[in-house]
Amino acid sequence: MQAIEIHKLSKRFPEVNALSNITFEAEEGEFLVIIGPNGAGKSTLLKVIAGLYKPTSGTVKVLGSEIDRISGDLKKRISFLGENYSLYDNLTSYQNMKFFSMLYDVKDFEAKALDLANKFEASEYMGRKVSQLSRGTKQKIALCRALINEPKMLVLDEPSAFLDPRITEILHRNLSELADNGCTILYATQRLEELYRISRKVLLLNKGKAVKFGELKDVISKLTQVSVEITTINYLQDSVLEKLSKYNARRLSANTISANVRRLSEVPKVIASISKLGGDVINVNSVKNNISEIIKKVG
Amino acid sequence: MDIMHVYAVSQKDLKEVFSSPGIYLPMIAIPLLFAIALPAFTVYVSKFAGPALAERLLKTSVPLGSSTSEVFFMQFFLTNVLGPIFMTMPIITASVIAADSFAGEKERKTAESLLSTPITNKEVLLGKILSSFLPAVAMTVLIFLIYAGVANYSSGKYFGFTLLPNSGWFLMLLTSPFLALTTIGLVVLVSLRAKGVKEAQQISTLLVLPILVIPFISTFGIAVLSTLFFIELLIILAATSAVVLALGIKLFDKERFITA
Repeated sequence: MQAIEIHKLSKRFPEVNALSNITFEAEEGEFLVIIGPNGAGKSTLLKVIAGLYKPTSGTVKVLGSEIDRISGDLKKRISFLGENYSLYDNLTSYQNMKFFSMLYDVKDFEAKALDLANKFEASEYMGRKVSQLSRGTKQKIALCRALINEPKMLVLDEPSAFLDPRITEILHRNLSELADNGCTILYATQRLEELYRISRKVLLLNKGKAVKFGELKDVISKLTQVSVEITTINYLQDSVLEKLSKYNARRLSANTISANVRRLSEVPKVIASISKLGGDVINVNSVKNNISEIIKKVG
Repeated sequence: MDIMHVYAVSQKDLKEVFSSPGIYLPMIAIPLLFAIALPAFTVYVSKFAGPALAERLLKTSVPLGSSTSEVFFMQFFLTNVLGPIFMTMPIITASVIAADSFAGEKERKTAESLLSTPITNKEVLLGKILSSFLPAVAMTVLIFLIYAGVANYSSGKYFGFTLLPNSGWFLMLLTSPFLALTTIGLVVLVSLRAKGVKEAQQISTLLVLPILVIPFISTFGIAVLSTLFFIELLIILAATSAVVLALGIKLFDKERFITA
C-alpha cells in the first residue's frame, strides 16, 4: 500500500514559489530521506504532508486519504517533528510528553514514555523543565514525544541536527526498526552521511523542485565517483598520472594527486598502481561530495 | 469535538501560566492588594469624613436619619465606588492570559507541533479560551470573597447588618464571566494574528479599553447600575461573546497563523 502519494504538488507563498510540481510516492514501511540545500523546500514539503500548509495545487494523499480530508483516527497515527524541538519550556519533559499523548489519545502512556526515555537515554531528564535542558537533550525529548503515538507515518525535519553521534546512531537504529515494522518515515536532512547511512529511497530537492527521486543506489550511482587525494613521501612521476588516467588523475602538487574512483573499494588498486611506479603513499583522503555537487551531477 | 483535547490544551496552558511567577504573581498580587488594602483603607479614611467632606466628595447630601456622615461615606465607597474597580478584575486577568494564548505558541515555536496533532481548530480555540476564562473567573470570585470579608470585618462595628454581598455586587459577580468571555474572545482574535506576545498585548490593551469603560458607566452618570441595566449588559455581552467566538473559529487558519 502507498503511504504517501504526491502528485504535481505546488506550494506558493505570496513572494516565493516554495514547491513546484513535486511528484513522488512512498510505500508503507519506506524510509525516505529528503535531501537538499537550505531553501530547497524540504520543510515546506514536510509541513504540507503534516497538514500545516495547504497545497496551492496538486494532490497529497497520506495513508490513503487526501490530506485535507484526513480523519482524526488517521491523524493519530501521523507524527511531525519540525526543525525546532517544539516543546513547552515551562513544562517538564514528562508533562510535555503527557500533553501530546493526550492529543493523540495514547493508551498506556506511562509504559510507552518510560520505554522511549530509556531508549534515548533521557529517563533522568523526565522530571526536569525543558528550559533547563541542553539543546541535544531537548531534541531527545522531542523525539520521544514524536514517537509516543507509535506512528504509522513519521515526518521528521532534520531530527539529528543537535544530537551527538552516539544518540544519532540510536535514533537511526530506532527509526530503522520502526520502518521495518511498517512505519513510513520521511526524514529531511542536509547531512550527506545520513543519506548514505540510513536511506533506502531518496528525494533530492533543489529550489522547490524534485531533482531526483528513487532508490538510493540509483540516485547516487553517479555520486559513487568518490574523489580521493593521495599524497606520497616522494615526487610523483608523470607516468603515474598516465597510468591512472582512467581515474581522471590530476596533479595537485609535487607529491599529491587527485583521482576519481567509482567506489572506495577501488582505492587500494590505485594505491598499488602508484606503489608499483615508485610512489610511497603516506596519506589518502576521500573527499565526499557536497549537496550542491550532487545536484549538479544528478540534476 | 473531543472534550479531552480541549481539557488537555487548557490544562497545559494553565500549567505554563502557573509555572511562571513573572506572569502569575502580578496577576494575583494586584487584585489581592485591591481586595485587602482598599476596603481597609476606605474604612480608615471614612472616620475622618465629616458631612462637609462627604458632601464635597460624593456631591450629595448626607441623608437625614440614623446614618452618620462617616458611615454613609463608608457604605457609599465600599459598595458603589469600589464596585466598578472590582468589575475590571475579570477583564484584566483574562486579557493577560489570552494575549499569550496563540501569540505565545508562535513566539516559542510550539505552534507547529501542536497544530500537527489530531486536535481540531475548534478544540484548540476552546482550550485556549478555557485556560484564560477559568483563572479570570476563579480570581474574580476569590477576590470578591476576600474583599467582602475585609469590608465586612473592618466596617462591621459601624453597621447593624452585613454590608456585602448585596444585590448590586451579586449582579456584578454574575456579569464577570461574560465580561471575561467577551474580553477573551477579542484578545484571542488579536493573539491569533499577532507576530508575538508583546504585539498581542499592545493591540489587546487598546481593544479592551471600551470593555474597561463598562464598569465605570455609573460613575460617569451614563447609566445607573440597576437590575435592568445588568440584564441588558448580560445580553449584550453574551451576544458579543458568541459573535467573537464564532468569528475566531471561522478566521482560524493553521497556515495563516503559522506563517503570519
